[in-house]
Amino acid sequence: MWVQLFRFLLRRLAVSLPLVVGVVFVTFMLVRIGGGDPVALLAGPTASAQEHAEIRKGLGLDQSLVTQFGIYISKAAQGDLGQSWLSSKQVSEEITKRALVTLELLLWGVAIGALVGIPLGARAAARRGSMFDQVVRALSLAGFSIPTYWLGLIAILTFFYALGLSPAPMGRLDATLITPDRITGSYFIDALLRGQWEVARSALSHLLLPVMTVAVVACAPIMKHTRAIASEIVDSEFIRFARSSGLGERRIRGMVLRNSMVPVLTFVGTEIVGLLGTSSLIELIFSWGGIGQWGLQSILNGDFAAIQGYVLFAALLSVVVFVVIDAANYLLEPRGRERM
Amino acid sequence: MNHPTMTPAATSDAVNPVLSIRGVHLAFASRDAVGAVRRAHVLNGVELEVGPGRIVGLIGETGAGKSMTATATIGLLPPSAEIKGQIIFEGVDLLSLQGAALDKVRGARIGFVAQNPRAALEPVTRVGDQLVRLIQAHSSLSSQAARERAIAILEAVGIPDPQARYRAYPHELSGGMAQRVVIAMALVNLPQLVIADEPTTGLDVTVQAQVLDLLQQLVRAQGAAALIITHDLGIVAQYCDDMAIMFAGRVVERGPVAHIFAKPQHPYSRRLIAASRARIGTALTSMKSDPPDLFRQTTACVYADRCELVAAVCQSAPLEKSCSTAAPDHRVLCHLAQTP
Amino acid sequence: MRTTLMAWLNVFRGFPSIAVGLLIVGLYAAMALLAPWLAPMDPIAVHADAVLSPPSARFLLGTDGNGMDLFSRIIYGARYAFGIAVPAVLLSILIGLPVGLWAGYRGGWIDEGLLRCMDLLRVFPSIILALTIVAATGQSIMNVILVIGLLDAPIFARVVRAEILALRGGLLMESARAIGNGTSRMLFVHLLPNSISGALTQISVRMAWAIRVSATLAFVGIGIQQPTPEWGAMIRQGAEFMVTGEWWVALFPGMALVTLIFGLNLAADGIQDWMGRRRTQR
Repeated sequence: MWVQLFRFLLRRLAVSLPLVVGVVFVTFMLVRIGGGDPVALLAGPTASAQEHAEIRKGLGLDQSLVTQFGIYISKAAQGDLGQSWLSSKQVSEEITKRALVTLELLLWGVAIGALVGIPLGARAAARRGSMFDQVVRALSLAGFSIPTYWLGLIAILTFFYALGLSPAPMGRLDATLITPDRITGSYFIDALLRGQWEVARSALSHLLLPVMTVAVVACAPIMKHTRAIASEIVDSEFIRFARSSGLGERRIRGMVLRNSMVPVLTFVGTEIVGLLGTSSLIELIFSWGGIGQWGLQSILNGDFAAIQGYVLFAALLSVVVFVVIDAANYLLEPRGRERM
Repeated sequence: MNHPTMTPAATSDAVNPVLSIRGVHLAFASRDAVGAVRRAHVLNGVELEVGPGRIVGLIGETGAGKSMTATATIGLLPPSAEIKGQIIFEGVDLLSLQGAALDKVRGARIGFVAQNPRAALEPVTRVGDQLVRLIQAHSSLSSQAARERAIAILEAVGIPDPQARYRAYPHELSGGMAQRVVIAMALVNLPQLVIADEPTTGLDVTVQAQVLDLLQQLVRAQGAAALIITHDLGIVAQYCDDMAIMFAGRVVERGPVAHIFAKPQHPYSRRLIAASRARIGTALTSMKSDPPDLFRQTTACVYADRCELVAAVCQSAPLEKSCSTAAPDHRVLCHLAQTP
Repeated sequence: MRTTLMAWLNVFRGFPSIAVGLLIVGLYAAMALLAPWLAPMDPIAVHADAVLSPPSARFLLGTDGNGMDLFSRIIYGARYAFGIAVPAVLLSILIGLPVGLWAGYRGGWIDEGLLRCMDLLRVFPSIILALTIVAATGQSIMNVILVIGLLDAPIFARVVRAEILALRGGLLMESARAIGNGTSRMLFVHLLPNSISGALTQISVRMAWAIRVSATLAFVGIGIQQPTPEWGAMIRQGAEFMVTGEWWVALFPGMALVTLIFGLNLAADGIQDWMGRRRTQR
């Protein structure tokens, strides 16, 4: 079975990579065809025509677009994603520095959103039509309708300004504290691991608001889909048969849970991908310093290589998540194996 | 007809019946697309008995209420169902039972054979494990003992290589195999009564005969009674001791199979039997005009609209209790049945 | 005429979410249409004496960092919300419907291409895509409409395609073909009306999405900018004042956004229930 799984995953990867290349290609073309001439930015107002030409050549902008793309891809495959001309650093460096920061926010947020949303959705499915169910539906609808960044701002207003419970939304740590030595990249976990309680506490308090904002936004769709999936299963023929066999409510609930797990987890996975965009906005508001904030600023500044790096990172992350989901599906869902 | 070496228990109603359905009315209220309330009267005073050790065939056209009778008996009605009457089993009114009390009965004292076997089995659990779960829900057997019992019953229902099939998933089984498993699940806890709802739907003709033979054999061996719901008179003729004919939510005639086939009293029964005989012959007697409108409630005879013997009394006088004819166990729901 | 009205009232009674949702949307639409008469002041008029003043009798919802009246700006903001969402969704339908019809009916490479497009969009969070494209192609309202319209088109195409695939095997097609209908006639007379019902829910959902995305774009700083009274741009400005306690600048535009999007989603939910009910009774 493991061999088949491996072969299956390989096939999925093979299919996904062209998609990733496609996405990067589209971005590449758009960014270049659209406005913004980096040469002028780099050269400065006093540069001569010849200096312009040199810079252009140095950046490789004098060749055809397709050639440029070819060069980009081949370099990317080797890990060279170009240079951000805003910071003059390697794009790959910028990304690796920030990747874990974003992931920390994303994963905590989705985890909490799922931990809250899944039981609520399951409960609503079991008690369809009840007051509880109506409330859950209304809440998830409301959650769908709130723009994330606005929620973040309200959270800041309430917890920072009004109640003074949270620290100022500036980064991940108090400016006065020293960041712990890097083990995982997460200030909170690293500080805990090193026993630096002050630092850990500060990191946690900075984590709270942004993570809770992501959690709320993640919770709504998860709640809605869990309810839908669980409802379908509760109505299914085999649950009906199980009831007719007198298996008892407790066992039935176990069956519903077991049978909904895979579709629900699949959905949570797709949520993670969807939240990449939303979490970027949260990073912006809270000055989180992750890839999302960096990516958004690069877009605003027309920093070509950085934008492509951002897009590439997002696409690759999506692929990884989807492959993981597919693997989980393959392992946990006996029915699907024949189709794969 | 019935297998000569397996004689059924002595004819029935003198002894206490295993199952006694008395005066059951069932209605469903719903809102249609424009929000108005409509009430469908699915069962209108069902009277039915299953004697000890007898196999009763419940027959009627689609919508007559056969499956609903079974659903009501096994306690699977939705909360919105409006039900009146009694269903007495082992001295208790099943309609008054709920929750744990009901769960003790079904699956253990009453076995249910579902219509669509592959849909009835839980997709993500192995077949053997499902059997064991059912066994352990109704007894205190250890896992080992339960497993042995499961393999034994799998063998008894004629599944080749039961040890290997134990580990199969439902989707890996053929339709006939799956139905055998469902029968195994219905019988494994040695019930007093087996209810089979159209047990041969979707099966090949050859497999149908095998499955029915098996069911009859096992039921007789356990000395249990059975209620087989079908729309196929051939099955009733071949496998059942008694039969009950339903039309528009009422049992219009019931009694021993031999009697009814020889001398059907109710005009509907006559046409039904004539139609099935004629199917083998050349002429096709047309059976229906429009199906009866279940939204219209009446206490008089529902069949009056299409009966060739209809008299004035049929449309006015109420018709709740069935009338007896020559034999006490052969009952007819017809004003004109006094004259044999 | 009267019986149609009664039928509609019954629908609303059975599905209150449709009624409430449409009511909210209707109110905002009215706000957008009647803005010049509803707004007490000129939305871009600067009141230099009352910059960042809290809600008062004079400025019902306060003023923003430029001294412009928030209440008037929010009312006019409805124009931008609808002005972007409606054309964008219309564009998606205009592109998506024929593509979906063709893909469902003829299959072939259009169908394949459509599925690939959907895959592409699935691989990628669409907000980032929208941000990148708009940033790259120039920041105008037209571009925002175009991008949202294009990104949503595959969704409508897929809805239509699914409807058609479901209908294809059915009796409808067989009988239509038997009568001798030509291809285009079949498409327009038979398939189109039946597939519209599935798209109805999506229209509401996509409109909510369009409003949300355009506000997000403005918030990030792409697309519409100050002093245009667009809700997202207003929140953007309000963000800096959140930490210093001038809460009204970002709060009220956000509430307007939330309410309208909620109304659209509510209506969409109700329509979906209603469609489901209709389907089981066909």
